[in-house]
Amino acid sequence: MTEQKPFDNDIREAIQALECPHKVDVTDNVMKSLDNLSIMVPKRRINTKRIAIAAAACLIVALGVQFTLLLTHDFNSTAVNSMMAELYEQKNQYYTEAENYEQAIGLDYLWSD
Amino acid sequence: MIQPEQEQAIVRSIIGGQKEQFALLVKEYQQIVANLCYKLAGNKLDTDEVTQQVFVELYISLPRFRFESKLSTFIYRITINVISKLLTKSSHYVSYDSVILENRPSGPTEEERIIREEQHNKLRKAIGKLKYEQRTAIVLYTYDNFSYSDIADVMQVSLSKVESLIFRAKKNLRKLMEEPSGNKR
Repeated sequence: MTEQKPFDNDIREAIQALECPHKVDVTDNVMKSLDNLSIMVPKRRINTKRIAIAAAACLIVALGVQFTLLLTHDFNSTAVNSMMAELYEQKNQYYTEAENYEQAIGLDYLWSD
Repeated sequence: MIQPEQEQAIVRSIIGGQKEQFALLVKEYQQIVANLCYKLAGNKLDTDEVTQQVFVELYISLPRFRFESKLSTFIYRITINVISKLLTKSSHYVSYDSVILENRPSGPTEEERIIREEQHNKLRKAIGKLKYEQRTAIVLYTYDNFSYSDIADVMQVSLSKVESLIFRAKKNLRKLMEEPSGNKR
Protein backbone atom coordinates (compact mmCIF):
# COMPACT_ATOMS: atom_id res chain seq x y z
CA MET A 1 0.00 0.00 0.00
CA THR A 2 2.90 2.32 0.77
CA GLU A 3 4.23 1.72 -2.73
CA GLN A 4 0.78 2.14 -4.25
CA LYS A 5 0.31 5.82 -3.33
CA PRO A 6 3.34 7.31 -5.12
CA PHE A 7 2.50 5.25 -8.20
CA ASP A 8 -1.08 6.53 -8.06
CA ASN A 9 0.23 10.08 -7.83
CA ASP A 10 2.56 9.50 -10.77
CA ILE A 11 -0.33 8.21 -12.86
CA ARG A 12 -2.47 11.17 -11.81
CA GLU A 13 0.24 13.71 -12.63
CA ALA A 14 1.12 12.06 -15.92
CA ILE A 15 -2.49 11.98 -17.10
CA GLN A 16 -3.40 15.42 -15.80
CA ALA A 17 -0.51 16.87 -17.78
CA LEU A 18 -2.11 15.50 -20.95
CA GLU A 19 -4.15 18.31 -22.38
CA CYS A 20 -5.14 19.13 -25.91
CA PRO A 21 -2.11 21.05 -27.23
CA HIS A 22 -4.24 23.78 -28.81
CA LYS A 23 -7.33 25.79 -27.94
CA VAL A 24 -10.40 24.35 -29.57
CA ASP A 25 -13.18 26.45 -31.04
CA VAL A 26 -15.68 24.45 -33.01
CA THR A 27 -18.78 26.51 -32.16
CA ASP A 28 -19.34 27.85 -35.69
CA ASN A 29 -18.73 24.51 -37.33
CA VAL A 30 -21.07 22.73 -34.94
CA MET A 31 -23.81 25.32 -35.42
CA LYS A 32 -23.44 25.00 -39.20
CA SER A 33 -23.73 21.21 -38.96
CA LEU A 34 -26.91 21.61 -36.95
CA ASP A 35 -28.58 23.59 -39.74
CA ASN A 36 -29.50 20.37 -41.51
CA LEU A 37 -30.49 18.60 -38.34
CA SER A 38 -33.72 18.88 -36.45
CA ILE A 39 -34.06 17.77 -32.87
CA MET A 40 -36.30 14.77 -32.49
CA VAL A 41 -38.15 14.13 -29.29
CA PRO A 42 -38.05 10.34 -29.08
CA LYS A 43 -41.34 8.54 -29.47
CA ARG A 44 -42.26 5.93 -26.96
CA ARG A 45 -40.35 2.96 -28.23
CA ILE A 46 -42.11 -0.34 -28.73
CA ASN A 47 -40.33 -2.99 -26.79
CA THR A 48 -40.51 -5.92 -29.20
CA LYS A 49 -38.73 -8.23 -26.79
CA ARG A 50 -41.38 -7.73 -24.12
CA ILE A 51 -44.16 -8.20 -26.62
CA ALA A 52 -42.59 -11.45 -27.85
CA ILE A 53 -42.26 -12.75 -24.28
CA ALA A 54 -45.91 -11.83 -23.50
CA ALA A 55 -47.12 -13.51 -26.70
CA ALA A 56 -45.14 -16.65 -25.91
CA ALA A 57 -46.57 -16.70 -22.37
CA CYS A 58 -50.13 -16.33 -23.72
CA LEU A 59 -49.54 -19.17 -26.18
CA ILE A 60 -48.22 -21.44 -23.44
CA VAL A 61 -51.21 -20.65 -21.21
CA ALA A 62 -53.66 -21.26 -24.08
CA LEU A 63 -52.03 -24.58 -24.93
CA GLY A 64 -52.06 -25.54 -21.26
CA VAL A 65 -55.77 -24.78 -20.97
CA GLN A 66 -56.55 -26.80 -24.09
CA PHE A 67 -54.49 -29.74 -22.91
CA THR A 68 -56.18 -29.69 -19.50
CA LEU A 69 -59.62 -29.58 -21.14
CA LEU A 70 -58.65 -32.47 -23.37
CA LEU A 71 -57.65 -34.57 -20.38
CA THR A 72 -60.61 -33.75 -18.20
CA HIS A 73 -63.38 -33.49 -20.78
CA ASP A 74 -66.27 -35.91 -20.27
CA PHE A 75 -66.91 -37.50 -23.64
CA ASN A 76 -70.11 -39.18 -22.39
CA SER A 77 -71.75 -35.85 -22.12
CA THR A 78 -75.46 -35.52 -22.94
CA ALA A 79 -74.80 -33.66 -26.15
CA VAL A 80 -72.60 -36.44 -27.53
CA ASN A 81 -75.02 -39.11 -26.33
CA SER A 82 -78.01 -37.53 -28.00
CA MET A 83 -76.02 -37.04 -31.18
CA MET A 84 -74.98 -40.70 -31.16
CA ALA A 85 -78.59 -41.79 -30.52
CA GLU A 86 -79.78 -39.70 -33.42
CA LEU A 87 -77.16 -41.20 -35.72
CA TYR A 88 -78.10 -44.71 -34.58
CA GLU A 89 -81.74 -44.03 -35.24
CA GLN A 90 -80.91 -42.69 -38.69
CA LYS A 91 -78.87 -45.80 -39.43
CA ASN A 92 -81.77 -48.08 -38.39
CA GLN A 93 -84.12 -46.07 -40.51
CA TYR A 94 -81.91 -46.54 -43.57
CA TYR A 95 -81.73 -50.28 -42.93
CA THR A 96 -85.52 -50.54 -42.66
CA GLU A 97 -85.95 -48.54 -45.84
CA ALA A 98 -83.46 -50.76 -47.62
CA GLU A 99 -85.25 -53.92 -46.40
CA ASN A 100 -88.61 -52.59 -47.54
CA TYR A 101 -87.15 -51.77 -50.93
CA GLU A 102 -85.65 -55.26 -51.31
CA GLN A 103 -88.99 -56.82 -50.43
CA ALA A 104 -90.71 -54.58 -52.90
CA ILE A 105 -88.50 -55.61 -55.78
CA GLY A 106 -88.35 -59.28 -54.69
CA LEU A 107 -84.75 -59.49 -53.65
CA ASP A 108 -85.46 -60.43 -50.03
CA TYR A 109 -85.12 -64.15 -50.86
CA LEU A 110 -81.41 -63.64 -51.24
CA TRP A 111 -81.08 -63.07 -47.56
CA SER A 112 -83.52 -65.74 -46.34
CA ASP A 113 -82.14 -69.07 -45.14
CA MET B 1 -19.39 29.50 -16.33
CA ILE B 2 -22.98 28.28 -16.60
CA GLN B 3 -24.73 27.39 -13.33
CA PRO B 4 -26.52 24.00 -13.14
CA GLU B 5 -30.03 25.56 -13.01
CA GLN B 6 -29.17 27.78 -15.93
CA GLU B 7 -27.84 24.75 -17.78
CA GLN B 8 -31.12 22.88 -17.31
CA ALA B 9 -33.05 25.87 -18.64
CA ILE B 10 -30.76 26.01 -21.68
CA VAL B 11 -31.24 22.29 -22.37
CA ARG B 12 -35.02 22.62 -22.08
CA SER B 13 -35.05 25.58 -24.43
CA ILE B 14 -32.93 23.68 -26.99
CA ILE B 15 -35.33 20.74 -26.83
CA GLY B 16 -38.12 23.28 -27.19
CA GLY B 17 -36.66 24.41 -30.51
CA GLN B 18 -34.25 27.25 -29.67
CA LYS B 19 -31.33 25.82 -31.60
CA GLU B 20 -29.10 28.88 -31.20
CA GLN B 21 -28.91 28.24 -27.43
CA PHE B 22 -26.80 25.18 -28.20
CA ALA B 23 -23.84 27.45 -28.91
CA LEU B 24 -23.69 28.22 -25.18
CA LEU B 25 -23.20 24.56 -24.35
CA VAL B 26 -20.57 24.17 -27.07
CA LYS B 27 -18.61 27.14 -25.75
CA GLU B 28 -18.85 25.86 -22.19
CA TYR B 29 -17.76 22.28 -22.83
CA GLN B 30 -15.67 22.21 -26.03
CA GLN B 31 -12.28 22.46 -24.32
CA ILE B 32 -13.25 19.87 -21.69
CA VAL B 33 -14.32 17.48 -24.47
CA ALA B 34 -11.14 18.18 -26.45
CA ASN B 35 -8.97 17.49 -23.40
CA LEU B 36 -10.75 14.23 -22.65
CA CYS B 37 -10.42 13.29 -26.31
CA TYR B 38 -6.68 13.96 -26.21
CA LYS B 39 -6.24 11.93 -23.03
CA LEU B 40 -8.10 8.98 -24.58
CA ALA B 41 -7.01 9.10 -28.19
CA GLY B 42 -3.75 11.10 -28.18
CA ASN B 43 -2.55 11.87 -31.69
CA LYS B 44 -4.59 9.08 -33.21
CA LEU B 45 -7.66 11.22 -33.85
CA ASP B 46 -8.19 14.83 -34.88
CA THR B 47 -9.33 16.46 -31.63
CA ASP B 48 -11.29 19.23 -33.42
CA GLU B 49 -13.19 16.76 -35.57
CA VAL B 50 -14.00 14.51 -32.65
CA THR B 51 -15.15 17.47 -30.54
CA GLN B 52 -17.42 18.60 -33.36
CA GLN B 53 -18.83 15.11 -33.76
CA VAL B 54 -19.44 14.85 -30.02
CA PHE B 55 -21.53 18.03 -30.04
CA VAL B 56 -23.56 16.94 -33.06
CA GLU B 57 -24.25 13.64 -31.25
CA LEU B 58 -25.11 15.60 -28.11
CA TYR B 59 -27.62 17.70 -30.03
CA ILE B 60 -29.29 14.61 -31.45
CA SER B 61 -29.32 12.83 -28.09
CA LEU B 62 -30.37 15.80 -25.98
CA PRO B 63 -34.06 14.78 -25.80
CA ARG B 64 -32.89 11.56 -24.11
CA PHE B 65 -31.22 13.54 -21.30
CA ARG B 66 -33.36 12.98 -18.20
CA PHE B 67 -31.94 15.65 -15.89
CA GLU B 68 -31.15 12.92 -13.34
CA SER B 69 -27.39 13.22 -13.72
CA LYS B 70 -25.15 16.15 -14.54
CA LEU B 71 -25.04 17.29 -18.15
CA SER B 72 -21.25 16.92 -18.00
CA THR B 73 -21.66 13.20 -17.24
CA PHE B 74 -23.90 12.86 -20.30
CA ILE B 75 -21.33 14.71 -22.43
CA TYR B 76 -18.45 12.55 -21.14
CA ARG B 77 -20.47 9.44 -21.96
CA ILE B 78 -21.07 10.60 -25.54
CA THR B 79 -17.38 11.53 -25.91
CA ILE B 80 -16.24 8.10 -24.77
CA ASN B 81 -18.66 6.37 -27.14
CA VAL B 82 -17.71 8.52 -30.12
CA ILE B 83 -13.97 7.93 -29.54
CA SER B 84 -14.53 4.22 -28.98
CA LYS B 85 -16.34 3.92 -32.35
CA LEU B 86 -13.59 5.85 -34.15
CA LEU B 87 -10.76 3.92 -32.52
CA THR B 88 -12.30 0.55 -33.26
CA LYS B 89 -11.76 1.21 -36.93
CA SER B 90 -8.01 1.20 -36.40
CA SER B 91 -6.05 0.05 -33.38
CA HIS B 92 -6.89 1.03 -29.82
CA TYR B 93 -3.26 1.89 -29.02
CA VAL B 94 -2.46 5.58 -29.03
CA SER B 95 0.50 7.90 -28.54
CA TYR B 96 0.91 11.43 -27.22
CA ASP B 97 3.03 14.47 -28.05
CA SER B 98 5.69 15.49 -25.53
CA VAL B 99 3.95 17.32 -22.75
CA ILE B 100 4.06 21.11 -22.72
CA LEU B 101 6.49 22.73 -20.33
CA GLU B 102 3.98 24.31 -17.90
CA ASN B 103 2.88 20.84 -16.90
CA ARG B 104 6.33 19.52 -16.07
CA PRO B 105 6.42 17.55 -12.85
CA SER B 106 7.71 19.31 -9.78
CA GLY B 107 10.85 18.21 -7.91
CA PRO B 108 13.36 19.65 -5.51
CA THR B 109 16.25 19.74 -8.01
CA GLU B 110 16.43 20.17 -11.78
CA GLU B 111 17.94 16.70 -12.14
CA GLU B 112 15.12 15.11 -10.20
CA ARG B 113 12.60 17.04 -12.25
CA ILE B 114 14.14 15.68 -15.46
CA ILE B 115 14.07 12.12 -14.10
CA ARG B 116 10.41 12.47 -13.12
CA GLU B 117 9.58 13.98 -16.47
CA GLU B 118 11.15 11.02 -18.21
CA GLN B 119 9.25 8.68 -15.97
CA HIS B 120 5.99 10.46 -16.70
CA ASN B 121 6.67 10.26 -20.42
CA LYS B 122 7.25 6.54 -20.09
CA LEU B 123 4.06 6.26 -18.08
CA ARG B 124 2.13 8.12 -20.77
CA LYS B 125 3.50 5.76 -23.41
CA ALA B 126 2.30 2.88 -21.25
CA ILE B 127 -1.14 4.49 -20.88
CA GLY B 128 -1.36 4.65 -24.66
CA LYS B 129 -0.78 0.92 -24.79
CA LEU B 130 -3.65 0.07 -22.45
CA LYS B 131 -6.91 -1.33 -23.78
CA TYR B 132 -9.47 1.41 -24.43
CA GLU B 133 -11.76 0.47 -21.53
CA GLN B 134 -8.86 0.38 -19.06
CA ARG B 135 -7.48 3.66 -20.36
CA THR B 136 -10.89 5.31 -20.06
CA ALA B 137 -11.30 4.11 -16.48
CA ILE B 138 -7.83 5.22 -15.41
CA VAL B 139 -8.21 8.62 -17.12
CA LEU B 140 -11.54 9.29 -15.40
CA TYR B 141 -10.01 8.06 -12.13
CA THR B 142 -7.51 10.94 -12.28
CA TYR B 143 -10.31 13.52 -12.54
CA ASP B 144 -10.44 15.11 -9.10
CA ASN B 145 -14.20 15.37 -8.87
CA PHE B 146 -14.89 11.85 -10.09
CA SER B 147 -15.88 9.02 -7.76
CA TYR B 148 -15.98 5.33 -8.75
CA SER B 149 -19.75 5.55 -9.11
CA ASP B 150 -19.37 8.60 -11.39
CA ILE B 151 -16.98 6.60 -13.55
CA ALA B 152 -19.46 3.70 -13.61
CA ASP B 153 -22.19 6.14 -14.60
CA VAL B 154 -20.14 7.64 -17.44
CA MET B 155 -18.93 4.28 -18.72
CA GLN B 156 -22.32 2.64 -18.17
CA VAL B 157 -20.81 -0.32 -16.38
CA SER B 158 -21.14 -1.70 -12.84
CA LEU B 159 -19.13 -0.41 -9.90
CA SER B 160 -17.28 -3.70 -9.58
CA LYS B 161 -16.34 -3.56 -13.26
CA VAL B 162 -14.86 -0.07 -12.71
CA GLU B 163 -12.84 -1.35 -9.75
CA SER B 164 -11.59 -4.26 -11.81
CA LEU B 165 -10.73 -2.04 -14.80
CA ILE B 166 -8.72 0.38 -12.64
CA PHE B 167 -6.97 -2.47 -10.84
CA ARG B 168 -6.03 -4.12 -14.13
CA ALA B 169 -4.97 -0.82 -15.66
CA LYS B 170 -2.60 -0.12 -12.75
CA LYS B 171 -1.25 -3.66 -12.87
CA ASN B 172 -0.61 -3.41 -16.61
CA LEU B 173 0.99 0.03 -16.22
CA ARG B 174 3.33 -1.35 -13.58
CA LYS B 175 4.24 -4.24 -15.90
CA LEU B 176 4.80 -1.91 -18.87
CA MET B 177 6.92 0.41 -16.72
CA GLU B 178 9.16 -2.49 -15.77
CA GLU B 179 9.82 -3.36 -19.41
CA PRO B 180 13.02 -1.91 -20.87
CA SER B 181 12.39 1.26 -22.95
CA GLY B 182 13.40 -0.34 -26.23
CA ASN B 183 10.86 -3.13 -25.84
CA LYS B 184 7.91 -1.97 -27.91
CA ARG B 185 4.60 -3.78 -28.17
